[in-house]
Amino acid sequence: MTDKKPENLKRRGFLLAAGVGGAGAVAAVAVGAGKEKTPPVATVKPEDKVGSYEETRHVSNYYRTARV
Amino acid sequence: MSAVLDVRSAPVLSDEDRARAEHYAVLSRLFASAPDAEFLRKLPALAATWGSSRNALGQAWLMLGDAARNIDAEQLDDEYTRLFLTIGRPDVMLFGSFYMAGFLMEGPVVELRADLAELGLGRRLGVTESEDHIAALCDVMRHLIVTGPDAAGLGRQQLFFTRHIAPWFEALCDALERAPDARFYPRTAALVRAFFEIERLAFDML
Repeated sequence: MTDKKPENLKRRGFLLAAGVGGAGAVAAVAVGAGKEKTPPVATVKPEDKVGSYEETRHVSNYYRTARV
Repeated sequence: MSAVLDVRSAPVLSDEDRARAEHYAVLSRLFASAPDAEFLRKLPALAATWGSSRNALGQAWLMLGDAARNIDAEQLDDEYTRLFLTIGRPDVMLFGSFYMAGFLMEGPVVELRADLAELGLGRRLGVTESEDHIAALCDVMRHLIVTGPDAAGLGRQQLFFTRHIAPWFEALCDALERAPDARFYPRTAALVRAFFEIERLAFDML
């Protein structure tokens, strides 16, 4: 998947210089932590009706806000 | 399309894409709910990896690591609830539509849902929390990075970021920095700002 186009090499160099690079063993740690506690965006519960919202704290908070 | 979205056949990522995906994961975790004790303990370790005095992102990581060492999970849960979940109007809104349209669930969410549907994510997103929450948007970006590091995938990332994160992340950071009586979340703002600014500049190079 390596892209040799000059603009992509420039982009890659910029990212690395800016500190976005060199993800090592630690990388898997945070992603793993996120996976356990945070439902992925694409989480689906088959029993849910299409288009229905899961009542998370954020959403229930929004509904409360909307009533004020 | 389904092959592109199949995580099991995810392509090998470059170092920088792995690092970007990692940053989106951390930002999502920071804002989806209050970090628990386990994640809180990991933040200084992450800060040791990413921290540096040489650039804005590294400095932001050092600040976040320091903030994580100086608060416990219970205090952090209180701060999260008070800042983001207060009944009435929370001190800091985490939903893009608030910044982009001045009100929750306005036009930007309609456009966001259309874009997500285009990416094959709409239906599944429909059963989670509001799609314009910063944590949800970070999850989408991580998904797009992990599944599409090629030119077409980068194009999808650029479009999504430009339309749904770039217009309001600075306003969110301003709000985080101004958050009253808060010890932790104001110190996340520098990381959010530094990382998204890098993303914006890097996308401009495409």
